[in-house]
Amino acid sequence: MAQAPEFKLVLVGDGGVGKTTFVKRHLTGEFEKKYNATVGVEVHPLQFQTNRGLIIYNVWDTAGQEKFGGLRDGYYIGGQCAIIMFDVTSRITYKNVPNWHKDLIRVCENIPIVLCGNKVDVKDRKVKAKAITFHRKNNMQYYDISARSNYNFEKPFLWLARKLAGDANLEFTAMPALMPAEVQMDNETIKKYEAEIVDAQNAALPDDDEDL
Amino acid sequence: MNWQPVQADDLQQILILLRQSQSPDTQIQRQVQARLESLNQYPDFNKYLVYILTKLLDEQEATRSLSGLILKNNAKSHYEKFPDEVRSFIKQECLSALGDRSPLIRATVGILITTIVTKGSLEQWPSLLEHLYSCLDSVDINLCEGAFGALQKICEDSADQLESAPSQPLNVLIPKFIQFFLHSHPKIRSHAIACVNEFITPRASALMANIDLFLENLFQLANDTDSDVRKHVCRALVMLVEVRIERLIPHMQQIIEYMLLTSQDSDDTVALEACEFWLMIADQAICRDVLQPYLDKLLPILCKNMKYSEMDIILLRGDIDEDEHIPDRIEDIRPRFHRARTRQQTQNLLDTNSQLNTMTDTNNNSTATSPNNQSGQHLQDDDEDDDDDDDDGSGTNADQATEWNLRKCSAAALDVLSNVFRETILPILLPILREMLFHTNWQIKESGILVLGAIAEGCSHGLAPHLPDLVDYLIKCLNDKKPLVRSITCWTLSRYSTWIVHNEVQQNRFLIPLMSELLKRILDANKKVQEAACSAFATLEEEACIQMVPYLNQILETLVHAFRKYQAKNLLILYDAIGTLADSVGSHLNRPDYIQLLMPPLIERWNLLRNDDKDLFPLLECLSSIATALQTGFLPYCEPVFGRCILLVQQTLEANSGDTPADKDFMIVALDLLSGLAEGLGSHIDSLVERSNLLTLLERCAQDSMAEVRQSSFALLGDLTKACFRHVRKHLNIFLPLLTQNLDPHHVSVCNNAIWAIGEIAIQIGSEIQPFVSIILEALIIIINRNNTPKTLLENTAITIGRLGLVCPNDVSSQLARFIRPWCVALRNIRDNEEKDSAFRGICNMIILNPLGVTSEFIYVCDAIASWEKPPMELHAKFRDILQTFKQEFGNEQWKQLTDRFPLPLKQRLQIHYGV
Repeated sequence: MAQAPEFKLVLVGDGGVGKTTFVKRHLTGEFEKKYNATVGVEVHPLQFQTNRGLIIYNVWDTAGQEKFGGLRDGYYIGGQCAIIMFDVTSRITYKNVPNWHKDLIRVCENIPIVLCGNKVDVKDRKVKAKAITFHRKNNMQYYDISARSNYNFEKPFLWLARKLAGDANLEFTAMPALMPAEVQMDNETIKKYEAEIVDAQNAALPDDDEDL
Repeated sequence: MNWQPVQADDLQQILILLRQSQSPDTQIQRQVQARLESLNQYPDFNKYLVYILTKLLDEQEATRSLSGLILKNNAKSHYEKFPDEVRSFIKQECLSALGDRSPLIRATVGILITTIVTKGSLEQWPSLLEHLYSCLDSVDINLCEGAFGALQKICEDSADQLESAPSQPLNVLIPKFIQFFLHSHPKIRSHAIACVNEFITPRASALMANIDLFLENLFQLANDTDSDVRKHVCRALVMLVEVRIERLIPHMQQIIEYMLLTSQDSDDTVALEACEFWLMIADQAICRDVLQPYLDKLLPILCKNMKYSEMDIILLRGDIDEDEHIPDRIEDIRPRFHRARTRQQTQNLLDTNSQLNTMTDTNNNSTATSPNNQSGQHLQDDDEDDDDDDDDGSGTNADQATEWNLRKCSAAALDVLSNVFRETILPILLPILREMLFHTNWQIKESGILVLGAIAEGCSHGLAPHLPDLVDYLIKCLNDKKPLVRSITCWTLSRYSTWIVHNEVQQNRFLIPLMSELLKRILDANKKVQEAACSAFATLEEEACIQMVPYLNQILETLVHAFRKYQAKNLLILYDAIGTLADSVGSHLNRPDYIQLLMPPLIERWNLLRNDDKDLFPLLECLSSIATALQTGFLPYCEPVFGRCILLVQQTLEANSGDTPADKDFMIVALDLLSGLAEGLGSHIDSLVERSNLLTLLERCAQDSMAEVRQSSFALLGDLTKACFRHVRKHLNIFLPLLTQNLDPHHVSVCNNAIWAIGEIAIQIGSEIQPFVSIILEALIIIINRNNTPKTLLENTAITIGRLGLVCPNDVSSQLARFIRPWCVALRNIRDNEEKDSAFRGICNMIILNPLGVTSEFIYVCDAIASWEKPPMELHAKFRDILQTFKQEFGNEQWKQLTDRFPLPLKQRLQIHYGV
């Protein structure tokens, strides 16, 4: 039997946007409530069953925070596809997308890239859908996602799989075993966790449009 | 300088470390990192790194590249600390390795070079540009490519430096780049254009000096074999239109011809870049003049591009006819939010105004935008709503809305161009449309229907004579055998619903067939069609309002049927359609047979859902609309609903004081439904309130730390004040101070609702509000004089000021001069209604007490008075007295001077109605 094809997937984006949570959701089904900054890189193999057989992504979940960056773009070498993630409740994380993109394509020319806006389950969305245009000029795909509610969880992986296989008819046949979406989350934890993210990014934007 | 590794051992150790860093093992990664940190202490480490990158040609390229990137990261963090000899060595090695045979190594060297330039400036590396420049002409293609790669990165990162450098390198570089547009290697051509493109947006003078040459060489690439090159050309031209359109005018003909050609590129991603050009130019003032002669070529291309690609159809599963039985997966359902209620003074005018709305849109009345709409619109945040809107101009749902492709870009371009050229494009479009709409290929037919939807706004006038036939045809298309045709038809028809309900003739002919066909599509076996039909029907409801009343039975039967068959995702849209129906027909829904049809399934669902299930939100929003519409008809259902809302509020409050605070949305949504009940049932709610602890709970909610909770609390407070004031009265000692503390206009919606509630309370307690008047009035005067206060907040503020003046005229009239002008401006656009009446009676009392306060702004007062179509008798008499008195006091001469400045209609109106 032929070995399942493996692809190196590079996952990048600012600290606190939810990269590790997103990957762990797949691995263990757990939603990480606590924020622990990733140091350097953590590599996770994610398997997907498709109508063309099993495929494996080795997801290189890289540190978003400058101070924990480790080898930074050194981790991109040999990347065959990528996800750039930002947080729709934090404008600065979207503003930084072009920088992540530039660093990525300088090392990995012409690889398929998906842009993901995470945390669409949070009510106070700051980066409106209409403002998200970066992917348009760069031949990327975009998805709103929610690591908390699982919304669109597998879409980025499916799009990448179709690109990598050059096969638009590729489908995932079995969903990865995700744990049920969180029904609710207590406010205190959300606040704490968001506060940690703000600390981590150390670059909160002023709330200039309350209620508008 | 020729440095060699001092210790072969050290080199080996570093190499092992670098190779290990390719490991997917997190533990090994940790160790590698720790080791690297310690090696960074080692003085020669950076020399080893550059040595590995540039000299170890037999080593794996990943290892060499990583070595270079680590060095780059070191340079990025502390280049200034590198000793001079290390810097020189690195620079020398970089230049020597520019032409490495590995593309990855060349790229890495380029990254290192551009980093050194950003950290250490060009001046500290004077030979660099000259060296790169000379490499461009090398016969060694690797060297040429490596040099170009490095230059492109420098252009991206250091455009400012290049422009401001004293040696003016761009004067040499830009002509050189342009010359390479015609190089034999596509990769080199791409680099060359990309380099120049970096200087378009900053409008570099060296580029502008060479713009003719630049364009000339770009045009020669029109038929380039490489799609990346063609994309770069398009990007260049789109950017130029954006920033330097005036320089392009002499070349416009050629540019347009190029774009016409490229918009049909066999590679969709190239055609997409080209189509951006039409979107961009549509925004320019010269669009009309330059595009006019090409419309006959352009429009057919855009239409053609709007056809679904084979890929789209696979992705949309457009070939699957029936899927209604397949349950939706939870991960496909977009998270949904409840938005707290915002109150307006002017409500429940649907019946009286629906006619007006369609006929006179000149007045831009706030009531024209369905007041008190509980489907979640904040009055201020149209933007926010757009996120959830299905309608992105091409009839696709929200989940696909963010995808950008040739079809969407072309449809968007056609939409904006139709708004620029209006009906003048029809002679070209109509024959194309005819061919598309009647095409035997369903994909072409589908795109024709999309074209028709895209031009609905821009060509509405010119299309009118054709619409009877077109709408007839579209209604037939609702029965097409292809689901994607049926769903796009729903969308396009919704774009014409304004026209369909515009007059009686059209209504008689189209409304019934459209409605009955749309209702069938609501029950379609395909989920996408169900979704499109439900959305289209909601739009039709909003447009047709009470014209839907005769068909309510049929509509309700269908919606209830859908309710039983829908999967999770479309159920959410169905709730909205039911809520919108209730908002649109109001009390016409209050008939026993309708209620018997509609309520049981909703209540059944209501009983099924647990108190912590977020699916309660859309149902509660829907019930809120229904309660408001049914009024007393809701009484039989009121008690259990009321009781559960109280429970939800209480639970949330209790949970928040405990260890595990709950999601406050449950409380907000419950407060909003209580508002709906109070508004709908009026005094009938009195006994329920009496038997409950609602007001005690509301006291706590009104002090909540979360703005949205306070927002909903004040809306409910205002509604309870109107419905059963005797219960509110006992709590005013708590509520009035709270309201005065919430008049901060930065929290627009909270402030708005607090002001509205104050106005309602003032009407009820009259002069007893006096102790609070001065503090409230100060805040209101600040708000009404602020720049950028949203319109609704201004109107509410003005009305509450008027009402305070009505009950405490002495306190308020002394301040007249501070607010009369913005007050008049805020209320001149409101239609006649009760709130406006109370506010104007207040202002009249104040003017009588303090006429000097308004003398200098009297023209605004006259204008505001004239905004009344038909004031009630008492108010009319007051207006007449005030106008007559002022005329007398001014004296004939001064009065004439004043009124000569009035616009003619104002003058006439005052004369006819008030005899002045």
